[in-house]
Amino acid sequence: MTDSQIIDLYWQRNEEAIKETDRKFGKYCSRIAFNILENREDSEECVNSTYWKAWNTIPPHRPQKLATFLGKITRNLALNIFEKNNALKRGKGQVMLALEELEACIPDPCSENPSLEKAELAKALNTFLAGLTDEKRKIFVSRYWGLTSVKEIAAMYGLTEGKVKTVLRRTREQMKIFLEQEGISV
Amino acid sequence: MKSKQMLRAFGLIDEKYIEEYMEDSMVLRVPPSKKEKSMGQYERTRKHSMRRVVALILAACLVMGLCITAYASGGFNSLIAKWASRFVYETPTDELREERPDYAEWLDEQLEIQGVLQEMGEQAQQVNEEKSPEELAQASITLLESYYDGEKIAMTCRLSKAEMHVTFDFDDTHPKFNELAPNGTDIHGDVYSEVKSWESYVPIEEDRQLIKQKLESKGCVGFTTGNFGLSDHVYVNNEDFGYGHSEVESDGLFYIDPFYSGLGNVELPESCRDQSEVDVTVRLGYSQIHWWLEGDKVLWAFESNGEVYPVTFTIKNINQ
Repeated sequence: MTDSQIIDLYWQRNEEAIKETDRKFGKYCSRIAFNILENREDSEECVNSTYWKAWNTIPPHRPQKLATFLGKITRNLALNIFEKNNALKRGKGQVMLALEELEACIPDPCSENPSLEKAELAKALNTFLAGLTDEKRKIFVSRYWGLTSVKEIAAMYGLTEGKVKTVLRRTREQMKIFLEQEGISV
Repeated sequence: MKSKQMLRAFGLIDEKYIEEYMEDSMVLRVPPSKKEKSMGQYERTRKHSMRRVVALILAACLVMGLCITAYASGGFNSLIAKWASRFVYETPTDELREERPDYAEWLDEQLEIQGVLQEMGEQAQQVNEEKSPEELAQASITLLESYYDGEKIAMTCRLSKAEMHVTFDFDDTHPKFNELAPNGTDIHGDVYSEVKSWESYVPIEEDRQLIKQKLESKGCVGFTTGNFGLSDHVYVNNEDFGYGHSEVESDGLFYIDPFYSGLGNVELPESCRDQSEVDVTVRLGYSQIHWWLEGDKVLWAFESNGEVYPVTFTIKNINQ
């Protein structure tokens, strides 16, 4: 079934929409959730919540790309669950590792104004990503959007883990310089 | 926390980049979820079985291909490559992260070095050259592998028969007798303030038995153990490039440490770069420990004659 046929089912309020979504995008959403939560039950719950949110958002929304639409919802929900579960814990999972990696490449000073910067940052990130080679960009997005482990990224692109880590480190350094040049204060 | 904001901001990046990720990630195996079992279980099981079979066949082909490539390139036998692959950095502990706030970057650097080392190992030349200067008694150093490309050096060597038989001429008339002290006494600086059990310094079983017999029959025994140990520094064309080798392992293997030869912050000296061959020298020092066992009491004193004995190997540039 095509994306637009599935979206039509949502608009018709036909529950088959959920089944078709799961059939086509279940694994993809599960992977995003699992990368962040590293727990099957939590991931399953997160994916179900994604479907529920999609059901409540379409209509009125009509996403251009169902996969990215669902992926973004899953990622946000999973990060919410992660933050809730790990409010006091440190040092586990891809999210904490990714946070540590990113910590070092964010220019000072850190502001206390999150809503403004998220959009500003995203804009800058898009400009930065556009300037990267395909390989670097894919690796970088896999790590920090998909929260995919270095091992899996290496498997995905047929590279060694060492190579992936080197690319990530260099790209983080590039990003730091870029953000500084853009005058972005995170 | 600013990195959290950054991670959230990644959620707002252009969808075309997410699509790229989505397409690539679709090829990966997904962790099985409970939900899958409730939906068309038979169909899914059949598909999974087929996929598993295909995946296994592909994996087997891949492994075979890798084996053939590694064998053909010599990487299979490379001790340097094996040594590099033994470094384990993959599971950072919480403690390690706390100790090293820059852990992620440090890890990247280590992995980069590891990757280079493995590549060097795969290209290293197999050698079997043993050197045993007279001063070393029966001890010898064998060069097993070498790599020099004009900028970087790596070598695998084996130190053999560095331990000597014990001698039993140590008694209360020996000048070092007055320096004997138990473990924990700092008489030679921190490095020598602790020794392991005396048995670990007596490599030959016959010697150990003899010491025990003497101790039992007389109530006390004095003896001396001696061994050749590697001096810290390594020299290339007579230029010192600092602490440049790994620890000597239990089987005598040690590695001329290329971390200091152009991969890290220290490059090879100018005179050692881009040569058709270079002379690499390691030095052995001889040291003794005098032991006095009396009942349960173990006393010891360290002695070195301060001499070092150089052993030099000439290694050729693989690119020339």
